[in-house]
Amino acid sequence: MDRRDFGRIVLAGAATLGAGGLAVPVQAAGRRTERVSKAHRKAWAREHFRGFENILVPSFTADLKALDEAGIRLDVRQSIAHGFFSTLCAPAALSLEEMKRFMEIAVDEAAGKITVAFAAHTDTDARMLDLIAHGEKVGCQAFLLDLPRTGDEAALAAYVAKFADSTNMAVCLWLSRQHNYARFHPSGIPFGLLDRVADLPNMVGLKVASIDAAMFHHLYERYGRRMLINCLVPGLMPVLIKSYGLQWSGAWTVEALQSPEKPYAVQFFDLMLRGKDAEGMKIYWEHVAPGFDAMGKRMAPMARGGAHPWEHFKYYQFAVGGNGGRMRTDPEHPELPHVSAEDMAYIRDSFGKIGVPTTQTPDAAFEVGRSAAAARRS
Amino acid sequence: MTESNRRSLDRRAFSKLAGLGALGGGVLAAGQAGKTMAAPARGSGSSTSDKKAWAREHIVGLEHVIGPSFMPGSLALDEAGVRWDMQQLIRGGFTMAFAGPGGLSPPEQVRFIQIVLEEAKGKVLVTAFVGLLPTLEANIKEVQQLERMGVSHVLMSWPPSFLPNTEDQLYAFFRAIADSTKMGVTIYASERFDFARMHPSGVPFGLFDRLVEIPNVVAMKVGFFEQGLNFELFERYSKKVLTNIGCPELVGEFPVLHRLYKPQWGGAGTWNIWQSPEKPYLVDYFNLVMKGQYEKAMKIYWEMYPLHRYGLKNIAHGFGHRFMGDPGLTNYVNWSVGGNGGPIRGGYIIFEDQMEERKRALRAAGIAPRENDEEFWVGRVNYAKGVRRLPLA
Repeated sequence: MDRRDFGRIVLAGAATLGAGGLAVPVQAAGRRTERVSKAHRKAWAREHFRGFENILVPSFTADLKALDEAGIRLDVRQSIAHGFFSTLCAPAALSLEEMKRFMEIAVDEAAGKITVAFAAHTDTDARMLDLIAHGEKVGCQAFLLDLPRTGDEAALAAYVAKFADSTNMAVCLWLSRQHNYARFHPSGIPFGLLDRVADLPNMVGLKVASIDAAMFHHLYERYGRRMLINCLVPGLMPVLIKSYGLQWSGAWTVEALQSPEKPYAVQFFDLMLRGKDAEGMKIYWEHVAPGFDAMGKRMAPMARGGAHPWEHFKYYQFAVGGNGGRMRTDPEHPELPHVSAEDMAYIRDSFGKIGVPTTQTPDAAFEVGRSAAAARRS
Repeated sequence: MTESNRRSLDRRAFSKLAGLGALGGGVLAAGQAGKTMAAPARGSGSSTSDKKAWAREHIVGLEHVIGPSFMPGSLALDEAGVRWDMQQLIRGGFTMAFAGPGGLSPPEQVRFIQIVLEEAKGKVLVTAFVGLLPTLEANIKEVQQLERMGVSHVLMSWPPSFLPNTEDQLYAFFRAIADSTKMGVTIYASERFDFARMHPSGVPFGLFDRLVEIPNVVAMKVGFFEQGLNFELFERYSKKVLTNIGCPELVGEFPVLHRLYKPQWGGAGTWNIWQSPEKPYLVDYFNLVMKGQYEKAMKIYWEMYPLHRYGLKNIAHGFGHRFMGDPGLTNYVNWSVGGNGGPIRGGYIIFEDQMEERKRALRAAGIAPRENDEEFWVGRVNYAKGVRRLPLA
């Protein structure tokens, strides 16, 4: 596994969605829950999509039968403390009703301090419309739309428009090789689809799971003025910031590179955005690049075929203060392994090598989640 | 140089070659550097101050690797095969030929480069490696010999057995060789030098900051597949020396880098992965990027994309030990688009599925591959003369 594989992992391992938020949460608080009209979503996104978006993975009770609300709230607070501009609610083995409740909890806890987005991924159009309507009602600002693997580009465009038109929320699209769009273009990018939807007023972003710089060049040249194209590979970020104005990255488990106390990834990206290359690259070499490499080596083998190793995401977050907790078996990828003791040791060691102290809380607390473990103790 | 089976050279194969590159004699260890450094005087005595201007005018386009061909059975240098490959390189639209080491004795190496130079005939520049030999004196002798022969400029290495702990020691070695020649010298930024002990990126920036100021240091080959590092190298050095992409995985970065830094050359690499002389995709793509005609360039990029994916997969597979570190498969790639092929010293194994995978990628990109694999095993030139593969004894 190396960077190119890691590109796949990140892309596979993060059902992203972007949403808005400012670099400084306190200042942005009033903007993160505001109602923005569809017509103003592109301008809104250009102002708010700056920095990193992480993945908010649901927490469960010890028997895995219900959501752990306290655990979810802790992870929202952690996301704010990390300095992310947005957090994306991931539909990790949740029922539709659980997903809705998960989003409600996240928005409530965010209280305008961080944008809350969600991954729109259900099995029927009616349920998708239901989920999207709910997201808008409870105060989410954006969603990441996954796309069907079949159909021609006109049909895909109609699919996107159906959901985008139904809401004032910002919409981002997720593109990766697993979508099987090489039938449209050798790159795997469905240009015929993007040409049709890029001008939708609330089509604001593109999450591209690629390490191919030429692909980014092509996308920025063609859509860069209409959509905010993101990048999931830290090594590519400096040149894309400088050349094309890259301004956000997400959603992925950025926590693997930092902690709230040592927010290296956030600092790196912010410095590069401000043109402080020397300072940014110093952080890149000492913390970001080795952290990303270590993450890729552990996660890439699990992420093949589009799987999302949710429980491993949870452990990365737990190691730097997040709730943690075991995950339900993902019905779409039941082959995903649970986090092992060896995984835990590896991840803690990886943090140590990039100068990020890990939690003093014993790994036993991960079994039920930090909040539940604390409640038991008390 | 000890015998090796390196048919072609690139970022991954280089380290292995470097490891085999000794002519004998004592190893130049860190502690010995000082003693050997002062002995040789500066070479031919001419000024090198205009070398950077010369380089801006002449180091343009793509540099391809050429390795020696060998005769079936005897494994003697196959001069006709070398000539064929040089003609093929020129037909492919490349502007520079990098005469890579390939398991040759010193006299054979001289003869090999002579042949390459004869075929170049002013049509392309010829470059070579220096710095691989185990003593400073041997390296200086070699670089001066290359200069006399007519090599254009050289890519500088450090001997694999040279393990200094300070940038000063690396600088002194490099500087002594650079000062011994009037040729332009290219810095090789490569992860293969194990310099992570000096900087986490693997590039000792303090050293490079000094090297680029040497009058006849004219260029830098960026041999890392680390996009953040490319950014930093171009940011730091592209205004001082001709910084390039010398890493085949990064051909996709040419448009991005051109927008910011205007590189003008690439290599050395096995660029035949992406093209044939009849369909010189990569050369056309590169030239269009250099003209700023990005839209046309991208059209070609996607045409050659099946070959790009083939290259990435095989380069990446097993961290490169199967392809770019695999001289046999590299040899096959070159043969599949018209090169000589043939045996190489040390031997190699290529499986039928590997051959078919290459052919499928070529066909997907609209290139008709060479089909008769029997020709590959003895070399195209020999096969035309009626030579056939020997049966097993």
